[in-house]
Amino acid sequence: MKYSGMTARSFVEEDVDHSDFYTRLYERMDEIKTLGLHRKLELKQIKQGELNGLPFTLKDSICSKDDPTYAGSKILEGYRPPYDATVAMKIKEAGGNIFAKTHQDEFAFGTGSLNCAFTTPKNPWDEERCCGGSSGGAAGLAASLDLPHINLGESTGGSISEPASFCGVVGLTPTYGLVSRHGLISFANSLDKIGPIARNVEDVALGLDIISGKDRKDQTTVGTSEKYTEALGEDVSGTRIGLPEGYFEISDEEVSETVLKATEELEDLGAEITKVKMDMTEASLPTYYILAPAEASTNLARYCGMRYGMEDKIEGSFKDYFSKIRGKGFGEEVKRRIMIGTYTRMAGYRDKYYVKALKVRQKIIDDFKRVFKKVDILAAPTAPIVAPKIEELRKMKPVEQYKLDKLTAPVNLAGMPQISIPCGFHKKMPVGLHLMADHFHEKSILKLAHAYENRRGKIDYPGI
Amino acid sequence: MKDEEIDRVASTASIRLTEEEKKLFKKDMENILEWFSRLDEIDTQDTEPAFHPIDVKNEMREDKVEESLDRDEAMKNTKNKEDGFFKGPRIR
Repeated sequence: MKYSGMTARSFVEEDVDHSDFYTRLYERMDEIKTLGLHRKLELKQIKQGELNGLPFTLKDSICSKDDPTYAGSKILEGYRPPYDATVAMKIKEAGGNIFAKTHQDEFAFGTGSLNCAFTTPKNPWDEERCCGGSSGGAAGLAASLDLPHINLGESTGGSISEPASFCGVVGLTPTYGLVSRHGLISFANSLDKIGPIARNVEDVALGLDIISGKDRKDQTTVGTSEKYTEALGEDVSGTRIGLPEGYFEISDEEVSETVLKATEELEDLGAEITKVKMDMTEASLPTYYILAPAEASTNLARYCGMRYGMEDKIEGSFKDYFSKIRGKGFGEEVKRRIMIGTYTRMAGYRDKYYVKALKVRQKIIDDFKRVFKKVDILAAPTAPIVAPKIEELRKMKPVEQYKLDKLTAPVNLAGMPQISIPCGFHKKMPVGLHLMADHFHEKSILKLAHAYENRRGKIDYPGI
Repeated sequence: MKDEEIDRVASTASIRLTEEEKKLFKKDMENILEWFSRLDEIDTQDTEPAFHPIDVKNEMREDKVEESLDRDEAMKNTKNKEDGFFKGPRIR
């Protein structure tokens, strides 16, 4: 059986000898270990069922019962959750196997996965460059593991799209509330979204089929779940595509040109392209960097050296003990964001920062709603640059690093679905085309991405 | 930003910082807060805050006892426990 290059969807449909396949999978995982993308899990038993034993990876912040789950943080080192996240349960019930956790920025705070406490994931296209973040390991694995599988990542402000773009793979961020967050180690409750990352559109659609749906363990799930794979192959002519002003101008010229060329191909497929003006793009990034750390600073209050994770000899007052453990267990960026998030919610500053940002967020949502009355889909570069060198990124100041989220923060604040799909190269590194749509219009972006992918043809992934 | 302010934020967040970290975060926060001030220019007088991107409804379930985590399972991730209880530092 030739597994190399097989899609997850074909794997589900074909009769595969599992013992043989999983041996090959684990060998391959050892071969690509030097990239620092994953932590292998032992499978006690290989499940089959409806998904025919399809392999999955989970971002390190998604809980699966008894499997190491550290969210990229020293403060959770050794943690083995006593329960499954809803997405993990859905995978297992459908007959999939979770064979690895993928590395990420600590608590998903980062744009290059450089803030991971355990390793720095390297980009399979150029090992001196980063994978993007925060779901960097997941995107890197999709690019380097040439065997059928699906990776689950998570996005708060662009953490699926951006690494997918940097690694030349497909990443889908669903509408907020389409996929249950139960069992996801929270970053920011009103922004976190779990979504699939794979080499092709079919496989991310399959991933979404499996994980979406109402969950009584997550009040924010909305319960409109469809069969997303069914949308693929439908006609896309007449689709109204908007190119948002500002998104192309701030990107590297070559990145913009590559994406514009891709939109011309969409036009050849029958789509209608127009330029659209958006008013809230500039305001989105500071809004995001107020709201996300504000929510994170309350979520991260639970890590205090009790019940799970990092512990010490219990002595002194609770304030001394908690402060000591947290000072020791959290990395620099986590402390920085907790400090910022605490400050913007404090008496005297709350209205100026936190409440103000919540109001601006409503204006950002309104801005998208207005534009989606005129066009069906927005198309833009996913990230303004290609994957930067790890050393260059390390030298950047916090605000400069935050600016890498400039094109993904707006749509993430609005909780609207988005897909990043590779559309060419610059400096021998992949460039991502970002397609965004109104709430619950996953099918429109999936079918357009699929039509584009068929026209673009196959990508030659680097051999490792 | 004054030094005392950094201490107050760190204390509210219960994080012990080293002197170097305090210096670093003070500089970074000044920089980041200045960047945040750009939002002052946006008129939000007639706008309500958006706590969620979509409408989220509060749903109640029937008040019925359901299966929950086994006590030993729930406690297996810590050494600091006694007689089926988690052990923590003194509150004073």
